[in-house]
Amino acid sequence: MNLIKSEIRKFTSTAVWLWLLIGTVILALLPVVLTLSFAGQQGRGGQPGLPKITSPQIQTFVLTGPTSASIFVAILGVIGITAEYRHRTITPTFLTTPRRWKVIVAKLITYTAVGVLYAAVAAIFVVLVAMVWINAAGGIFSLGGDNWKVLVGAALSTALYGIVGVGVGALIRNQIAAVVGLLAYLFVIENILRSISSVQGVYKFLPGGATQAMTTYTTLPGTDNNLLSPVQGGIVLVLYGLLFAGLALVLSTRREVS
Amino acid sequence: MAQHSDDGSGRIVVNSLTKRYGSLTAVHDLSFTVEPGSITGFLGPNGAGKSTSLRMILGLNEPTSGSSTINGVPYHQLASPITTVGAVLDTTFHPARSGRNHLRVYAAAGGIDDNRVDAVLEQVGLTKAARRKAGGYSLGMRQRLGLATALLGDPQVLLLDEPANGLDPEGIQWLRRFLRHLAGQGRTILISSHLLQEIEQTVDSVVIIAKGELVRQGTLAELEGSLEQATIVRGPDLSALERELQQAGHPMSQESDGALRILNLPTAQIGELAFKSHTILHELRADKRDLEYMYFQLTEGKGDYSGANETADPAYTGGEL
Repeated sequence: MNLIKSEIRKFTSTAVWLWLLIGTVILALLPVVLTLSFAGQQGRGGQPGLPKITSPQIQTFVLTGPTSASIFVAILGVIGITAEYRHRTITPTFLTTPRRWKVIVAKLITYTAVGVLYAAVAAIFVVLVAMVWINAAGGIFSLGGDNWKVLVGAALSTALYGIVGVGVGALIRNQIAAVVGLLAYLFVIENILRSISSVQGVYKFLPGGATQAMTTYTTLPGTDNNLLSPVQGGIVLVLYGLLFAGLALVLSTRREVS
Repeated sequence: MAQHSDDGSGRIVVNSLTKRYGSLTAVHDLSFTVEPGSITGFLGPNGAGKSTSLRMILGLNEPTSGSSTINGVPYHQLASPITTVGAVLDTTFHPARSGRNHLRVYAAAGGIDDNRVDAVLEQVGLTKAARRKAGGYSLGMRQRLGLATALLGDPQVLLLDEPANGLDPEGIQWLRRFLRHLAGQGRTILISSHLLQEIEQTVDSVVIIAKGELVRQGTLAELEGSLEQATIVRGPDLSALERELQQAGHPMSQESDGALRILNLPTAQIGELAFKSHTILHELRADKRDLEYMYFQLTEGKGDYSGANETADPAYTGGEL
């Protein structure tokens, strides 16, 4: 497929991919390092703390690491489309391929694949760090039980954000506005929605809630589990991906290129 | 729609193209044809609607009404756009991507062999700078990269929007030679400019637009043929000569300063008539109006910057070349 080859060349011919990959790995490792550092400590005011580092439970938390990198995968998708508008390379792109939907489909496929790749790299780092750390502390790290499902769920949900990114980029063609909007949504708006009890029923259907659902098999004692099942979460996230993909297609093929 | 297919002619047909942005009409009922294998200049002052028209032909902007075809089909229906039409619009590239990688991106998308990338870089003289980031290119190098992109598919039709913009005199010389070379290979070329002089030596015919409307179309020879030939005569008493001319039925007019302006009669012949009628002449000269003058007349006061009642300078000679 020529257009995917073209997208891959666009992607690899600037340094953006490397910086975002480094960012992805760092962000994925951050919760792993924090969780393992504070393992076994009691929370303040009698709040439940984290389980012991040697407990099997902690491994399921640690393995959700890749999801925290989903923002970078989404930004990757955003840049994949907004960079074309920002530098107006969308003109030669659409001149070469006037059937614009093909370009958008190629971008969606490319950035889903890139998302899978980044999530896989993040997952490998997470597993390596967790394994070395936990085993050194006397625990036994294992990908058995639900652990592998957590890891796969985390990686898959992260990969799906690539599609979301392309959709957001097509919607908000201004690169900075799109990235800021995405960050604001994921870090601020979703957290607010999650903390307001009257709309908590909505949160589980939002991308963040669905992502969380995909990696939640056990919960800390005493916390609410108002989430969908992992498979339902995956389906919701795929639907979001399709929604944004559809948005990207409709918007990019109708709008004028100036 | 599928019954039409690419006829391979290289002909560009623009049919009643109109583009409105709200209450502003950028292009109004524009029709013209560019014949296969010819170089046509697309002339007009800044803001006349040249770029908008080209962008509509290329399917980047949607016309409000009207249509255009290349090889008998709308641009987006071309079987292989990149090998049929090459376009240079404003130079667009990612500043962090090298010139060579920029071309490789579009070679991949158009299914063109990568060897072609180095070939076009060589053709436009960018081989040395090929692996540098395009963001560091000079204006001239950017234009060359734009041309290289257009030539990537070895297209039969070229659409160039102000390709000489920002080029230094040497670059313009190079561009002229290059375009003549490309035209010599039988390509159809439509090249826009706001300066007639810039393209006068290169084009066979011109399409002149102003305020989004066609004002003139024809070959350079046709345009030159329609220029009026006039002679200015000055002297203390021209009445005898005037009678002589009247008898012969030559149209003439009295200028404000008392000079006589005679149309369609060779200057030498007027000299002979003056001698015959014993008229003392203080001045006898051809009032040369060239294509540039005509272009200026046609588009006068229709540019972006002209005020409503601004009087044009009749001595205007066009561009700064």
